[in-house]
Amino acid sequence: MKTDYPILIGGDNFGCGSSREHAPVALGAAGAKVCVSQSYARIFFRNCVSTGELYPVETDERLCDVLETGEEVEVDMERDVLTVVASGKTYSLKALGDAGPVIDAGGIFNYARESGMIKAKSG
Amino acid sequence: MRLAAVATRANSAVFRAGPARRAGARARATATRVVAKVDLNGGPRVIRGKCFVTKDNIDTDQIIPAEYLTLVPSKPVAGGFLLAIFLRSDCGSAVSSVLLFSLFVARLHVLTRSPVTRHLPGRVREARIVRVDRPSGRPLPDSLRGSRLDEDGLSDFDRRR
Repeated sequence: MKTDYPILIGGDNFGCGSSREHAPVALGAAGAKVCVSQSYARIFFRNCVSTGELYPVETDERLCDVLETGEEVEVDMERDVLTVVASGKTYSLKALGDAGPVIDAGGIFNYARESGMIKAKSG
Repeated sequence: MRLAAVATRANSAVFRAGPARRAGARARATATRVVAKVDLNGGPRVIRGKCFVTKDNIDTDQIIPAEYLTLVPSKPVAGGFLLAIFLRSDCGSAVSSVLLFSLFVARLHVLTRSPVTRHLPGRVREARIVRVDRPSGRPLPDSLRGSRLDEDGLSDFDRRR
């Protein structure tokens, strides 16, 4: 059963206390695809990128005070903007930078295989 | 002679490991395989959908699928519930919010009769239901929002039901 909420909105220090990669894996398994927060716990951020389970997007705006659960939004990580569908209001996001292609590839190992850093799986 | 002894030892080691290996293979065969990478089908990085809003200091280390809060797995799940529960836990000196991202089907009546906090990490002090949905059947009343989970389970929830 997948969640109705593919987008998570957080405040400061999202993912604190999580050194295990189970945290982004569980969120990814539940159907979450992207998290937009002001800041992340360092290891959680790293695990999101390494596992490729969740896009951890940062923003300067405090969206958790603006948005409400259930609102439909669009997170455009190409233009780095979050749009509230109902109102059309937009909020700027920080660029994913080098983390983007790694998550696109499905995690650090897939990225390393695709870019030739490590040998691709045979068969 | 020496080779034969080594071979015998090796064979007996394999023999001893046999049932364990078979059990491992069985477990691997029946295990739920999590395939949950973000799939954008090669399209642009644009994700649209409903958002789930949390606040500061979300401790994701205590994500517990509510599926595993069902105490009697042999009984089939009747109906379904989508729960999102926030917990407050005392992590050392800081009190942080814990996102219990429980998005799996659970039996609410089982939850109500079990000390849920027993299955949660010991440092969890308090939990609140943020959202309860029933995929089938009519939704539970909004008044349940904020129901408190305490040491006796969902006693507050029971009273209000």
